[in-house]
Amino acid sequence: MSEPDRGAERAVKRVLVTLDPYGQGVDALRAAAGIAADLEAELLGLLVEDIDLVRLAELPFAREIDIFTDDTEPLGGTRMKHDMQLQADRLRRMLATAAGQRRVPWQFRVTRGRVIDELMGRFQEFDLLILGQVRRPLVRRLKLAVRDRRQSRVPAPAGHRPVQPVMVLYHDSPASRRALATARRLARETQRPLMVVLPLNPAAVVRELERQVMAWLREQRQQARFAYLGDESIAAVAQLTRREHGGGLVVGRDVFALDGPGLSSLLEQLECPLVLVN
Amino acid sequence: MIPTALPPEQLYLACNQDSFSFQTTDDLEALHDALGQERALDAIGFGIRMAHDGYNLYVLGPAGSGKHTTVSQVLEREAKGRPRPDDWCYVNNFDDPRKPRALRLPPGMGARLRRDMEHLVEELQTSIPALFESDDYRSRLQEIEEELNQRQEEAFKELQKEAEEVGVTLLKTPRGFAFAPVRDGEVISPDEFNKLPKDEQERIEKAVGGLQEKLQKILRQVPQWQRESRGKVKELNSRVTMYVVGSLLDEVRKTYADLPVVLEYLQAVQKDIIDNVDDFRPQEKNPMQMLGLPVGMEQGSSLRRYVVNVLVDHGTSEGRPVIHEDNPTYQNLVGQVEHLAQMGALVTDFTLIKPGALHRANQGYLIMDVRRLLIQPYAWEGLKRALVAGKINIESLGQILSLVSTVTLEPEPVPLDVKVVLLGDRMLYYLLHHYDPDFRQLFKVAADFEDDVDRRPDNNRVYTRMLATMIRRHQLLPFDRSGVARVMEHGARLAGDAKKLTAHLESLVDLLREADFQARQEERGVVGAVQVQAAIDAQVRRADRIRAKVYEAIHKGTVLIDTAGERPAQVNGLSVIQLGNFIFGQPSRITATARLGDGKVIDIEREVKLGGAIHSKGVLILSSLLANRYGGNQPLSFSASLVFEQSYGQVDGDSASVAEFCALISALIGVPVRQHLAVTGSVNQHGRVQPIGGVNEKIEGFFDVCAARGLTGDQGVVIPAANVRHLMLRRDVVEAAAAGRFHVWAVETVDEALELLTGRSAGEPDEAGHYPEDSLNGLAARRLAELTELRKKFSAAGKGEENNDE
Repeated sequence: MSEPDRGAERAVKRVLVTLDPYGQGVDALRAAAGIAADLEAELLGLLVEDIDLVRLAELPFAREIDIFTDDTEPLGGTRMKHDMQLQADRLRRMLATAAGQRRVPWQFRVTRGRVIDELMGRFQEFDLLILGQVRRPLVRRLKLAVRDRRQSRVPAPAGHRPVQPVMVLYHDSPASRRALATARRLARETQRPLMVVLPLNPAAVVRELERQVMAWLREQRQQARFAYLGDESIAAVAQLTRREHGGGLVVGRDVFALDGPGLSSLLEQLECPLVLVN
Repeated sequence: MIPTALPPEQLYLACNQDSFSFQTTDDLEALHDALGQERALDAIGFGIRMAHDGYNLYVLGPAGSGKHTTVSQVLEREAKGRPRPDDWCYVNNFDDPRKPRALRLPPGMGARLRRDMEHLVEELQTSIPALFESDDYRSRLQEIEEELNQRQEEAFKELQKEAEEVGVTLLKTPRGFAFAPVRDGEVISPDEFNKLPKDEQERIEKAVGGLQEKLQKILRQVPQWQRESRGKVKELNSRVTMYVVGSLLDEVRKTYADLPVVLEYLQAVQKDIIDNVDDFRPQEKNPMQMLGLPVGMEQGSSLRRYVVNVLVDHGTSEGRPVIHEDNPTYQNLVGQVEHLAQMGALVTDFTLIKPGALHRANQGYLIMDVRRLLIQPYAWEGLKRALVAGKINIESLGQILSLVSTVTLEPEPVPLDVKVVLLGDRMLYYLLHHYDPDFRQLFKVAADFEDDVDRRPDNNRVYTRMLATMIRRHQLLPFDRSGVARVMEHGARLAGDAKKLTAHLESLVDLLREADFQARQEERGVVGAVQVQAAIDAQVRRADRIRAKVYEAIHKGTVLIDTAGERPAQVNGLSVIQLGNFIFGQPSRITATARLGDGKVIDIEREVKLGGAIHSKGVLILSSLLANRYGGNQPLSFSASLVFEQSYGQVDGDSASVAEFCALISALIGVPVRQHLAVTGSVNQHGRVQPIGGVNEKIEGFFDVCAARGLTGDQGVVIPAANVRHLMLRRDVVEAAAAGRFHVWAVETVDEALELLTGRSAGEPDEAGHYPEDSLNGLAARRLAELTELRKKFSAAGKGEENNDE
């Protein structure tokens, strides 16, 4: 398996990383820059400005609830434009810093529209997509927001920080082999353990996959844990990722039917960055 | 009657070697007690056994008298059989870390508590993280988190449902959240909104407003829910920690079950661990780093607060401590709080408290040299404060003097129970006693070391054992009987008394060492009298440069001293000069003049302020003697002047008053004085000659001057009879006396001295108090009567002239 994988890694020339306007995203950005440097690939940072926000700002009664003060303030087109420009500038600087530290050629693009639509439109142009938490449902967004404000997180005792592994879904497919190699790089880059997720059935197939993966890992001198999926649905993958406190999920393009709704659903349910390998 | 010269055996009391029962000092037993210091030893014994406050000791005596060795030996002996003192530890005060607590523990238990606490912390560092990583704990923590999540989620879901029902969605904006109306999954554009009917627009606006209010209400409730969750997590953490800490501490408690202070401390430790359990878990890297170094003592060391700082450990001690503090600075006495320099700041904690000598000597003995103590700034005050207060308060000088106001530690004072033994000379003792009232209260016991011991057969035997002990202690060659005898003779010379032996051990040790050196130079296996004498001679040779210069000046005639012939009103007096440890005698020419006057004797030395008070006193006594002896019923009608010729420095002492009396009588009656004699001695108002100091050096000084010019056989020195017992003259002087080439006369009265110096009878007074006419005293009395008559005539003539004038 090693020879074809090396060939596949060498083929990666363009890495796309989505820039989360509301998250810190620095770790994901650094990891993306590290992978791009390792693969000698170009890094593209993509910021998608939400078209819904632009429309909202133009509505006469639009008001914004400040997450820190609970106060409401009127929204307007000019202010929204100004705030979005500040976001873009900040993210551009972050990208420049991360790429500059690893001496990676980089580009920064800003588009306006819907995140999933924009990603699906550009997916074929890139070998690797690193997607931050770009789409979350209402309830999760609110939960995260109230958790982050005023440092009001429930005090998880120090030391009780679950180790967040880099998880990779592995099938016997070319894209998933590349995904495994990418996950190993990501784990090394972010100094996190590697977890290989295999289908639970049928047993014979699983044993063969285990053998393949273990042989390759030995060759790479890489340690890893295995986890098993009884149900290969997007919901089951998301649940496993949450349970294992996944720090990132690497998926081959051919693992799921990641069309618009599928990708959207996966992104909504994940709480960690998603890396798509073409 | 003119006294006869002293026989040689009175000039030097030799040590009889035949009385020794040993061949060399190797045959002698060691001596463990100080010789002849019974008074001091009794005082020391009393002081160390007297339990009341203030009975500290001051051991008096000159430097080198063996005070330190003796006191150490006595104290070591005394301390050995006594129970070991307690250990002292400083531990963190969890209620007020600025005031560390002092723990008193039985000997050896301090170190044990330190080990137990180290072990406890090590155990906790392993077991607490393991417990908090356990699935049980994580699931219980997750339950609490889930409960919070559920509360929030329910509230948010309800809001979401309500929003969906009215066709509204929630959007994340750059600064927060906003509600927006949606149609077909997209936010309505402004144009579409404006095309809606007015009542629909109002409905949407009202719905969005209502949702905003509800979201605000939920957001305001969230902190309360979070607080409740945090409280539950804290309680869970406490219970989990208690599970581990309680069992481990119970093990420790068993060891200290009968020590309430330790149990109390362990209880505080338990509470602190539960309150600060996070310190036992792996910490994230402290961002406060500079140049790769941690900033602040807390970094990686927050567990230092469970350290037990064993200040004094008597686990391996035998008996009470005997501490010698050679450098009694303030800090070395009372201890100090050290600091660590970190990035330009000084930081400290209770683990940096260092003990002082008082801590180490607590419940034991502390020996110090008083001079060293007094020259250290505030050390004496610090010692007194501790003794008066009965506790050791560790404060920096800056704190005491209010020079610094920075926050620092205030360790709990340690009760003090110590015997302080100060060693020093007598002058400091009397100065302190006179000027420092605290001293009298705190150092009630004075142990006064003798300067010498009686030269008796029993003492002689012990003295030889003492010498043998010194010889062994300093790993010197053994001394044979002649060597020991010569050392003892020199000991008598050092004592300045043929019937005494010096107790100045340092001088003796020096002599023993130097004699040993001489013997080794000669490749001898045993030290004899020859080597001892060589060592003495070498000592003198090294020190006598000035003496040689003085004698050279006399020999060359620069300093005028006659050693032959007769001169009126001129007497050879004798003085001693001390330069460092070396003392030598120097002859001085004393002259007198007498003339008609009013009875006043002028001391020229005093007039020019070169005479000391004692010398002046001697001259005044002399005047009184003259008046008493010759005045009778008439006033003394003469004036006289006395001077030390060619003396350009201070003159003090009354040892020249016999010589001055003789010079004065000679000046009065014109009888010449023999210049081959020198005289020393003081005189009282009745003409009795009194003893003086430095008699050996004075005799040897005149002998050296005479010997340099050639001994004539009639030269010699007149000394007070009371000084005969002090004679331990040099061998060459004794030999010259034995050969009749030099003489020493002892006199009891000035008349005897006059007769020796003039060769004429002084004359005894008859019952009426009249002296024979041709005697010295008779001539003096007649001359004074003549002067009185002469004065009367002058007085009458003066009055006649006054009447004629009228």
